[in-house]
Amino acid sequence: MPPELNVVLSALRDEARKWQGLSDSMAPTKNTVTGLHLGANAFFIGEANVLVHSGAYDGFQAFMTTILGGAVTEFEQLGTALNKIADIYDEADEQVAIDLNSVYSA
Amino acid sequence: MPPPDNEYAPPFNLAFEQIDGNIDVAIEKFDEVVDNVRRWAWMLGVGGMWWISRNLDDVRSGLDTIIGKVNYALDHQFPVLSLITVSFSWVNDVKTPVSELSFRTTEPANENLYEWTGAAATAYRAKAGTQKNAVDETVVKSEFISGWLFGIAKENVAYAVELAKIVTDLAGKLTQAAIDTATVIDIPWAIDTLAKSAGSLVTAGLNNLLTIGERLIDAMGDVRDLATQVGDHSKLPGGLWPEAVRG
Repeated sequence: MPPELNVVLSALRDEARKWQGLSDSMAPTKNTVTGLHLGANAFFIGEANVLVHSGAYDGFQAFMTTILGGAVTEFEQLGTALNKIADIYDEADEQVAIDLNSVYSA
Repeated sequence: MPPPDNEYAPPFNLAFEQIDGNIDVAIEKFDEVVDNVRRWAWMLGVGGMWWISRNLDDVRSGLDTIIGKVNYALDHQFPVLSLITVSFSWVNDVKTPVSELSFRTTEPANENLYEWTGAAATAYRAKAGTQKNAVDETVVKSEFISGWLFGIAKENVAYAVELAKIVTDLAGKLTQAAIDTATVIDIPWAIDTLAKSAGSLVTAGLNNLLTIGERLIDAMGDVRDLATQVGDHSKLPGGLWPEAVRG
């Protein structure tokens, strides 16, 4: 194996690990957001109609939960894609052209 | 920078301790005033009693209004306390940890990654950039929602503090009246003083509470502001995390 390829392969594997680590770091944050629920009675100790705002908060919280869940998945998949690329180079013994559509899909 | 957690919760809880304690004092002292008056009813005469009853009815109605506000507030104390906690959680438990990921998205774990060339490498760098933008957008949105909740928390603290002041003042006036009505000769003067002072403090207090309620609605702003945050998909296409990998 050419020495430059070895260098690239280990850099790719490290980068893959980085994304798996980022996914692991994002997961607890996503769980936190899932727990940041507020009932309609949590907005004011006085009397006022806050239902519409309470509903908007619910929508925001649900949106953020979806977003962060997506981050957990995408980070993980990006790590997997980098490992796939490293495997292809390793197999071919060089930085061959890659069908990106097949690599960057789960 | 948002204020530290202890800027809202302690004054909020302290206000409720005062409300809780002093509303009981106010009720007890009002009953004491009524007892004092009844004890001397035979001396005060029909006309005197009519005048006193009318004034005490006004005081009772003011007290009842405040008791209503207090009960409503007490029912909402713990839920609103959770809003205060949640507003800080968006900063401490969401914004901060997510912002720490931003730099790492585009910074290679291994410097030799720069040796990687070709279309796959170019595609990867573009994807890492898109992921970083999404991370940064999440930070902005967490900051936005915590700021929104801080605004609401602040007016709740102001409301609790104002309600505590009304209840404490009212308890003070009633305590004084209970002392003053102990001697029959002072009853007409004491009732007159109580009715006037309690009446004006309740009216002024309710006005202040109303103003704070309006400020809270202002702080919440247009509900569309929140919807805009959810609907801004410039960095989160389709309202989803950008796909680095399809599927």
